[in-house]
Amino acid sequence: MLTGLAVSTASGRVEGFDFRFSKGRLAADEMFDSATSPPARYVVELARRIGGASSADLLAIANPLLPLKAAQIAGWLKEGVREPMILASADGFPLVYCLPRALFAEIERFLLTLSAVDAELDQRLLEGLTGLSLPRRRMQGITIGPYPVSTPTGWFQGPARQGVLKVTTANAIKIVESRKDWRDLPVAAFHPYHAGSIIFFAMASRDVTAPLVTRQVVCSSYRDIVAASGLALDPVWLKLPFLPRDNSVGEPQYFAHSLNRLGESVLRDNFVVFMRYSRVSAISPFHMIDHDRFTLGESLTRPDQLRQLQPPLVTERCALPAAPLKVLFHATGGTSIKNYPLDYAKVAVRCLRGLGIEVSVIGRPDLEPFGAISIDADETDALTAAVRRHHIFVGLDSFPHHYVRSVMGWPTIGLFGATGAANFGGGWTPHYRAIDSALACHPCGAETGCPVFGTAECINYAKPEHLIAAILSMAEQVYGFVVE
Amino acid sequence: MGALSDFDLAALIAAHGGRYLVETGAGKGDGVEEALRHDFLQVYAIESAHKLALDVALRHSENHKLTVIHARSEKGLREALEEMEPGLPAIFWLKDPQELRVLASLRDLSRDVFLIGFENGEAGLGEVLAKTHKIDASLAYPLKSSA
Repeated sequence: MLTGLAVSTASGRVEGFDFRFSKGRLAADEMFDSATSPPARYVVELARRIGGASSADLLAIANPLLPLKAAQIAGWLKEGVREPMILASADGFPLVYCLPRALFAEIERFLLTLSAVDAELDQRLLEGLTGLSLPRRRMQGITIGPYPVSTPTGWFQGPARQGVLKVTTANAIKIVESRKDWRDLPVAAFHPYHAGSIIFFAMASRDVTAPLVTRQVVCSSYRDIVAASGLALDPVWLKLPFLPRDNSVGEPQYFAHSLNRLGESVLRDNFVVFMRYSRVSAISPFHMIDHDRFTLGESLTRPDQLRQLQPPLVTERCALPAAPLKVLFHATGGTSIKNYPLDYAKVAVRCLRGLGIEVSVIGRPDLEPFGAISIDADETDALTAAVRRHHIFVGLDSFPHHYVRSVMGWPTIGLFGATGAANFGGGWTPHYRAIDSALACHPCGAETGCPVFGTAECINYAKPEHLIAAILSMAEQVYGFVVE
Repeated sequence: MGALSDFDLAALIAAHGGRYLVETGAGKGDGVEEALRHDFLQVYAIESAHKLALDVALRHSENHKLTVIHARSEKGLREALEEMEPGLPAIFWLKDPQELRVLASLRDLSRDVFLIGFENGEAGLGEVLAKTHKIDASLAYPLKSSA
């Protein structure tokens, strides 16, 4: 539960509020579930929601990492809470942050640097941010112990990741305690990779009304993607190759190297907040662009605010005559489980050619014998140019799909196998549809092979006949193209 | 392919004032290790293999005099050149003479020094410079071993 109390100190009246992570309805007692939001982002959101529903002068916000309920923390505070303070477990884990309601709003963006895992650090940070003396009360009967590496509620905040959170808090403390102008400094999101995630973050940044974050730490090798995607945040270039996906380097380890690389001046001039994944994305039903919009500051309390339920920000289409129809296909995900199955691809290409439809495939000369033309498009400029020469783009859950669909707004069909169509595709429009075989195992998230059937390829990918039907349907809808 | 340590970098720097060292095909970072022993303003190591590039970058993440660029040579050279002062001479340690075409289109190379590693195992200043790019190839520095 995501929980807090509104406390009227004069009357002693206490109102409890319990929220839960939304499964899609975004009801009044639900909160948007964002995988890229650090725990502190939920402290901010709880304060907004509870503060907005009450005129109380003090808010007691429970630690979002813990499955607490309002009645529980009211019981802990049964002696009454009249003043700002931090309630901590016996072993120093923050349980509840009590601050004046007005202050929560005033220091909102800096609250993103709360660790939510170390009460002593958070106390010092909050004292610096508020100028208040904040007592830290320990609940002697409550011990959190080692926080699990992953929780049933979707968090993965094991010891190494807690280290990341503590470092960002410590950096914020240094800034606040050493610079009088700290209120003027930006908050920078640490969200430096990978290419698809950069696209989602960029599109989100263009779609947030009042961002808490104005800068983004991003790998310099993505300069072309950042430029092409119209990132609305100020980039802070991280001159490191991106984190590999094979877990050969841990994300916390990479984060530590990143701080070395960014250097003292960047760390003194920016409140850096870790905004890579903190929660399991597949638990949330929402699209990653909306995850990132929430992370950047949008509250997203109603379904009609979701980007995936609204018209896309960008919509374009091919200027060429509708016939002959030209389809560009990106079928290679890097590993067999991510590739569109070879036999499916062969059939799809052969059938499309039989219908008089021209098919280009990115980097797949092995599909040329079946009628496709293999082209190179491994840089953003080349991809953009190639897409413009085709009516419809068909892509996997990877950068080309995300770029073509979201940044270019091109008619796109997303093929999903092991990963979640809801998170990375979603939101049907005339210009977009995501298809898969809707197997019960979806999304397994496998990286190397099928964990259910033991096959190298993913059988959840849509069969060629479904793909061809989707292409023909989109071609008719967008271009008025009908096979003769 | 020769090694950067085959060259007398100190002599090159003394003679021509190379303020940058740019290496393509940085591999496991042997050239980087050698270059960092000298007083360059910045060393750029370009490597297209992600794992190799990352290994070198993480090993030296605290050293701000080194920039590891994970990219193919042409894109990496463009990225490095964008950061380099055009007027300051550089030493380029290249693995493919074709990379000179890229450099020649992007920068006045008249003050720069080129070291080219050839596939046949030798390292040296390629005569290819003079032949194909009309660049003054008089800066033919001997290898340490033959100096």
